[in-house]
Amino acid sequence: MRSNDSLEDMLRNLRYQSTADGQRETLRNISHAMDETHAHAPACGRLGIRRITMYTRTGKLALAAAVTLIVLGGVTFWPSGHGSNGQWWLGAPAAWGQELLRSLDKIEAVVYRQRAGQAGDFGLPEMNVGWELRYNAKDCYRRDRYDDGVNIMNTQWVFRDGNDLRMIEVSHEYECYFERENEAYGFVEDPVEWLRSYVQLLDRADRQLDTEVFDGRECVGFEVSAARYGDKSKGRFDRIWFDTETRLPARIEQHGLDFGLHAGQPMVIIHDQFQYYAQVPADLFVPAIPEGYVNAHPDEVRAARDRQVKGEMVYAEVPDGLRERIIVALKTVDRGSYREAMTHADPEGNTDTHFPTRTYFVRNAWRTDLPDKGEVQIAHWYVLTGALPEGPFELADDFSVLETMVNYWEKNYRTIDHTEQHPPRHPVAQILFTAGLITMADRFHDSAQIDGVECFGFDVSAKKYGDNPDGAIHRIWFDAATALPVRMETHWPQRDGSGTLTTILDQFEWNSALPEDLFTPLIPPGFQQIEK
Amino acid sequence: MLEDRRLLKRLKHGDKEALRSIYEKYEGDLLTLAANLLRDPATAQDVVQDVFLGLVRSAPRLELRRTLRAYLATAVANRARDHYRRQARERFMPLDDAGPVPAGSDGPVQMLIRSDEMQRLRAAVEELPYEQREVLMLRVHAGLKFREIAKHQQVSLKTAISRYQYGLDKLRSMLNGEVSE
Repeated sequence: MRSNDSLEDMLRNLRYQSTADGQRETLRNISHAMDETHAHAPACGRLGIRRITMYTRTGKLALAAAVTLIVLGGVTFWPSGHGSNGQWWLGAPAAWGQELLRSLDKIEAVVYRQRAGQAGDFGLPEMNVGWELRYNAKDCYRRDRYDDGVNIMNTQWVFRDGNDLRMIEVSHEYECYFERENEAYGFVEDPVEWLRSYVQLLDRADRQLDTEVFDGRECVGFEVSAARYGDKSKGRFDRIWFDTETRLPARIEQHGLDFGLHAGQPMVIIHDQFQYYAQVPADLFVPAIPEGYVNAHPDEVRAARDRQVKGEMVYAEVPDGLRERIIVALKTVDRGSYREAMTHADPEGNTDTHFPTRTYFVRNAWRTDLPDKGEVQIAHWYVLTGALPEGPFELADDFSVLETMVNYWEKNYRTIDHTEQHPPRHPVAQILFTAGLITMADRFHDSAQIDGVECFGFDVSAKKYGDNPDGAIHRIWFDAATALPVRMETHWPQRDGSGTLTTILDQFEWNSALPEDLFTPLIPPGFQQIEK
Repeated sequence: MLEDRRLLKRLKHGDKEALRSIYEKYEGDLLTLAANLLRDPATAQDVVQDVFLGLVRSAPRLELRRTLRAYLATAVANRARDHYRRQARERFMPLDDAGPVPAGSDGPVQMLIRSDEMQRLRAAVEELPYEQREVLMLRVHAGLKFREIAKHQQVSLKTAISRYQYGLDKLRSMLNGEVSE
């Protein structure tokens, strides 16, 4: 029997090459295409782009790129231009802040990106996939939402119409649009005023941060407690970063926000990729409704679609305060372990059960063992290395998840230093997420005996939080005395019709004593190191 | 990755040397990916050329949110899937309408290692369901993360991982007894 690794190695060697003539011909063809592309580029004017945006479906996908062509082009407002040498930010903020305020006075429009993420007590923080691009000018606002991180799903314009404010929102996801008048939409905040207020806080900053590079620009940052402007929530602070060359604000981070969306995981909002304009690009704020879109609110279209494809979404009555009780219980967990078993059932009812694994965890490490006949055959260790970031936390320079896998069958091991944006997730972070879905439960079970323990529990459709397969559900049972999970089930029908994957986590041991050396990778002498 | 961003920036301005560098850097991996996805390796070269043509034409507007490698690999996978579907439809056409069948040779595209073992592996890979083959190849030859593959296939992360494991299991059972340890 070949292991996964040796089979993967064989597959890696299954390589193809084209002849030198073939390569030359391809290169000639694509070079020719490049000549044509650049010869025709000037014909791509603003009108053409707008027409595409309005009348074709492909236009909506190209909109982001088109907007970039029209608008961007950084402007330096700093009176001294680029001529200043040295670290200007080391001077008194009261002095250079005044110059900066004068620079901001010249700005008529600002474009920036807004993203959000979650931090937590378990594992590394994560940035959300989706983000927004916001365009602001006096009495004009536009917001493009990229829910999948790539395509515009939704655009909103707000503009002055006579003495009234008018808002138009287009949902490309649901192919509809709707209008509102004089409703309090979020655009009213003037970003220049907002930036000015940050600049005015600089001489009361709690600390200056080391320089960092964002989007290829060196920036210097200042950290300010949100209490300075009246937000006294625990753990709230902001960071404002200035481009060391243009000296304009380049990035603002708001840390420690709690909107109640993610159980026990405070949010961070990051505003970056700022572009400043001395003149407002007028076309940018002209609403464009693609042909064929219906006049309806996305919620109506979504509800109609849900009724068709998901059946009615149902919500159970869940006792007040239960979610908070669960979160508090889980957040006081320091260590523990559980068993995980995975079973695949095909449409004919045949089942295939994988060997159950056992996972052990502490706050900064976890380990998963695959045992067979009482002995560990494969072990994975995950250790958080470096200091947990306070932010900006999409940068993985100073920390990572170090994975060590030892295969006692094959007598080999490998190590992987995960520095990617979404490294392996701490098991309790995943448990917290699923447990936090209780307020969206389809059904609530207030009393049942599970594995000999008096429990309460709930079922929740995975449709409630994402575009997941029909019939995908989570079912969780909690110890009625401690509010800690006793059993967690996930039933996940495969989209390709190959059956259902069921994962069960049970045999939880919360805050149980664990050997000190359990989280130190043990590589027996003579084991061969293999590559990632 | 930084190097790729520099190359892409130059490509946006019509720099042919940047185009050549990108082509030389990725052509081999992309061709391997396409040839493993398609039963007809000769078509793989067309797929790779199409992807580079697409890159050249969209470069002025392109704002990458991921690595250039991942972008090109998923572009190859998309086009390979289109070809695969077309091939699948053509297999059900009456023979008279199907057009000429290419000769058995790989033509301008050839396997690097032509051992018996690799030939058997290739045959086994071709027998895999397309979705499983795609997950395996995107993982092994393009280095995509399961999360990226799941997004490309529009399935859950678990499904992508399961397809990978099933693919390996099937390959193993097909090769079992035929290849030496």
